[in-house]
Amino acid sequence: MMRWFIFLLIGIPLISLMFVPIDGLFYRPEKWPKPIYNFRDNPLTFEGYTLGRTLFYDPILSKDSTISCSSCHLQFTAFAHVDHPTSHGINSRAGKRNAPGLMNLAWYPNFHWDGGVLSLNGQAINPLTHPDEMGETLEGVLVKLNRNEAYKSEFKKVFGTERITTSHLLKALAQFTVSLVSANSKYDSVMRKESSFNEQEQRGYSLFLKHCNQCHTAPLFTNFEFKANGIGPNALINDSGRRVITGKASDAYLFRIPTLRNIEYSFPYMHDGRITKLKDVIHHYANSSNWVYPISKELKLKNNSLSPEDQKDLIKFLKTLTDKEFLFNPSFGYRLK
Amino acid sequence: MIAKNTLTLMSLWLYFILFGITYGQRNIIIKVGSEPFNLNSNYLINGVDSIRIDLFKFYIGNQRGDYQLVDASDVDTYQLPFDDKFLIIGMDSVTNTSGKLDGVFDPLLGMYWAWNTGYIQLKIKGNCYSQGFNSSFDYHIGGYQVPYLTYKVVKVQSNNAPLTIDLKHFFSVLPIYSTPKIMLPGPIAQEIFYNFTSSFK
Repeated sequence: MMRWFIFLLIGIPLISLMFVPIDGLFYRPEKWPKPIYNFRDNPLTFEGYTLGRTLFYDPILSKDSTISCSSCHLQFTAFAHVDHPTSHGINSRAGKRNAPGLMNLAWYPNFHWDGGVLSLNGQAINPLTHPDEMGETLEGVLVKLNRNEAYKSEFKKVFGTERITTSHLLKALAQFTVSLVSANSKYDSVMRKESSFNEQEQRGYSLFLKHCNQCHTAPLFTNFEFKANGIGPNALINDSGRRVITGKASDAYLFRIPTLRNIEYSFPYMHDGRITKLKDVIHHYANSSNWVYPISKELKLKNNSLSPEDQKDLIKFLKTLTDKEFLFNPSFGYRLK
Repeated sequence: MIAKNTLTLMSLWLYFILFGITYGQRNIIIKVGSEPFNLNSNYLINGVDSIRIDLFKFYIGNQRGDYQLVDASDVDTYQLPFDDKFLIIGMDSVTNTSGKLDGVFDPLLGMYWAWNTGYIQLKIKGNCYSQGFNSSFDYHIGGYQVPYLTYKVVKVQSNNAPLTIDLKHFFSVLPIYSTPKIMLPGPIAQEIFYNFTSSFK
């Protein structure tokens, strides 16, 4: 009897400790779908996440050690690139597309504005090796890391091997990026019945459900599809979007429907960052006379009868998707060594 | 050091003999007609043109998901670490996209399309000399999406024989003048792939 008592006394706190999430590490919010990321292939550990976080903020990954992942993915703007329509890389070279915010990546079936990348692990190769981004080679990065004693010992702690390989580097980065979960906005607390919308937010929410939710589907605020939203091709940047990947003419100028979470902070907007203000984005959708072909049918079918008042209400609702806890979580920030 | 290696090898052999576990192997022989294939050598094709290959790499696997990257610049890769009767040239969509990214699937090996996920199944680069003109060509052949799949099961003739690949016909039908460069999946890439798989005897 006594033995059972001691077992319970020690066992229950020990077991419950296992379920306390470590601050910053991935978790699945209540009522969210099952994540797509293969955690069995890359089991999360606090050491792996911390290593990924260190790498994310380290310019050692770029050819001339000037650019890190965080150069274009800043935490305070939901890991998007504020004030830069398109990403920029080494030697001030400009890319073709707007660096997207990084959040809830475990639920993405594919990555990039064109959906060409099918695994989060493999994604990082693109910015690492693109001449307009970090301009490095995988060989080059691995030589630098394998020369660095601090990294060697950290990688050894996580993967148990002496030599750092491509998959170690990519998996460490993914352990950090997959942990960037944003699910604690005012919207989320309203859904959990912990708070409530004010009148204007409530009106905005009804408008959202009627006009936007079909593509920007809650709780991730995207259905991950590729659509043409009527802003038309960018005359200065030759980019046919999804067609680059599929080769299908019908996919020309389609781009991913982006998430609306933290949209208040992740300006500029659209795949080429051409719109700076959220109110101008809403104005675009609300005025079919502005639309340029191609236009996906979901948009064409809308009767876009949003009055200026409606547009203001909608913006009030969109601001409830701001997750300050995510934007200012010190666990996601630069790690002092 | 050598003695230690020898000892390890011997104990491995002993292990295999005792427990009857042997990992099958199969050698690959690559020819151009009756001549052995080598990089940077000239071969006569179609009677008049001469072709020279600088780079030649391809994936070959079995139905259990083991793969080898055969690279003409490294003859050690001509020895396959499996001896299945049915071999696979190319990869299915799962192997292409599972994100393994290590071993023979390491993107370092230059066979990975990072921006449009998938593996290059066959990489061949070289020159063709015809009537005094030199034309270079460079092909990155792959694809796993319908309809431009690059995947074929080939049956090996006999259990103990090496796998022979004769590139003579494949070289003669490469579209060197009409399409000297392919970096994407598509109909011509697929045709090149199937012409390549027909080289397996």
